[in-house]
Amino acid sequence: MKRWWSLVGKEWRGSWTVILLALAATIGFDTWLAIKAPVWSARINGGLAFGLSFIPFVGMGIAALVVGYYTMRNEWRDRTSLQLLSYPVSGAGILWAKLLVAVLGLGLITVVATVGTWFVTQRSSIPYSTIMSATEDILRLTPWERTLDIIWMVVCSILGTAFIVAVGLFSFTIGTIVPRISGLIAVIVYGLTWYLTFAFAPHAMYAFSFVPNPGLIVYTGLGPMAARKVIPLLPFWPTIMGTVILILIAGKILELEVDA
Amino acid sequence: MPAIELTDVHKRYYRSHALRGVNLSVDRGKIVGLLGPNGSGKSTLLRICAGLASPTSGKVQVHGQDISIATKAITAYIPDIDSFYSWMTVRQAIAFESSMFDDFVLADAMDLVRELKLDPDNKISSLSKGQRGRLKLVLAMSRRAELVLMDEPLSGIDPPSRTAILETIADRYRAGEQTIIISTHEVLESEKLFEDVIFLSEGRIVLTGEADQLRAERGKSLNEIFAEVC
Repeated sequence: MKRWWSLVGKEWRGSWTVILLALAATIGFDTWLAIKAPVWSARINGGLAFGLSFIPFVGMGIAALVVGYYTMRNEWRDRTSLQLLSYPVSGAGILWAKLLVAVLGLGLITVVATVGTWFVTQRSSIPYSTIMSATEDILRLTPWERTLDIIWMVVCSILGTAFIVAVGLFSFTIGTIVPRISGLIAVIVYGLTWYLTFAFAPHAMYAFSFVPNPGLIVYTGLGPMAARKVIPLLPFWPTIMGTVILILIAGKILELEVDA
Repeated sequence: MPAIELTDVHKRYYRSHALRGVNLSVDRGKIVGLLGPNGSGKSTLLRICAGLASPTSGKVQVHGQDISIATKAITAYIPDIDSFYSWMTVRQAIAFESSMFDDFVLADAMDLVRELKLDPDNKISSLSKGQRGRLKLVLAMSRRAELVLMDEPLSGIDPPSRTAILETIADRYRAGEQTIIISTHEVLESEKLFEDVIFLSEGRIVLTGEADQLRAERGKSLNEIFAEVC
């Protein structure tokens, strides 16, 4: 375990400059929006700055799609794979370390972007009635229900990000089996993995609907007719299973097949 | 039990054959020269033993075990190319290596850093090729590794660094306990180090034996034998 944490530390130190740059860009962008928000609210509409503050989240989504692939590619490009794979650590251990740091980095930037969006909202002149109608359903939840919903949503976001990163790690690792056309193989595997994910996701969710799933608490209907409902988070178990399977297969390939 | 045993090992890269049916047994506790021209399969052989490539067919064992995490733990591998994380400093690289291997002796590493005139606070990206070669040696020789695999440790390195590297190997080698395999095509400088030698040509072993015995039998230096058989 000591070796694994050391790998995590190495990954973190190796990527913190990029994370720092992304944080600076996010903070700078949201600060600019917060400065502009009152002016735009007066002239155009209150929602413009608020809407633009979601751009960093789009960036995060794109980053999640490519970070897994690139974090592995860099090891091969810089030939550090020779050093990395000579360590007495399992292939899966190496990939879990990369996955953890990628998710932590993306999570950290997402938290900052969320605070930025909240800050921009405070500075925007969005009509009170708009805020009330948008948050009406949330306000009906009791504090503990709201907390539980937030916890599950954060957990699902982390799991979803982990799965996306794992697909990138998996694709690159498969590509290294055929070094001459590794890039092409990786792209094909990447596309195929996503195709299979979407094709079989409903089946997987159905299969896992028979086991206990976490759920989101919501209220439907209005006034005294409002009914409390729990929506099961069916992608929960398939996402965990998918991530674990991808990492374990890629880890085994790293140990057995890869030419560093 | 031999340090390394290869049985009918083949390694193919598409149409080219890097190793063609290599059978080899390396005794423990010796410094072995793996000699052959460029493209003879030396690097491939060492990478397979280090667990960085898998043979297309055949069996490879290190200390009687198939290549695995356990064999990686007792093997120190120095690649022929730079494989450092260039953002690390010398000190960070040593600390990282130390955290990965239980047999790493930090005090020895710091002694070697001083001996080989490296600045621990220098970034690896700012080191010259000779300094990087010396750093590779620090990382490998600071371990109590039972097997050390050095792939062309002198390649492209300036004469003072080459001398320092060879002297360090000779000084730090734990005779009888440690097996060191050094691949090179520059035989002249390093031949006095070798106890056993393996000559490799076009993926095949063409000659093996004890260095002194081969010299005596053929009345030639290893460098001359290399020119003859490879």
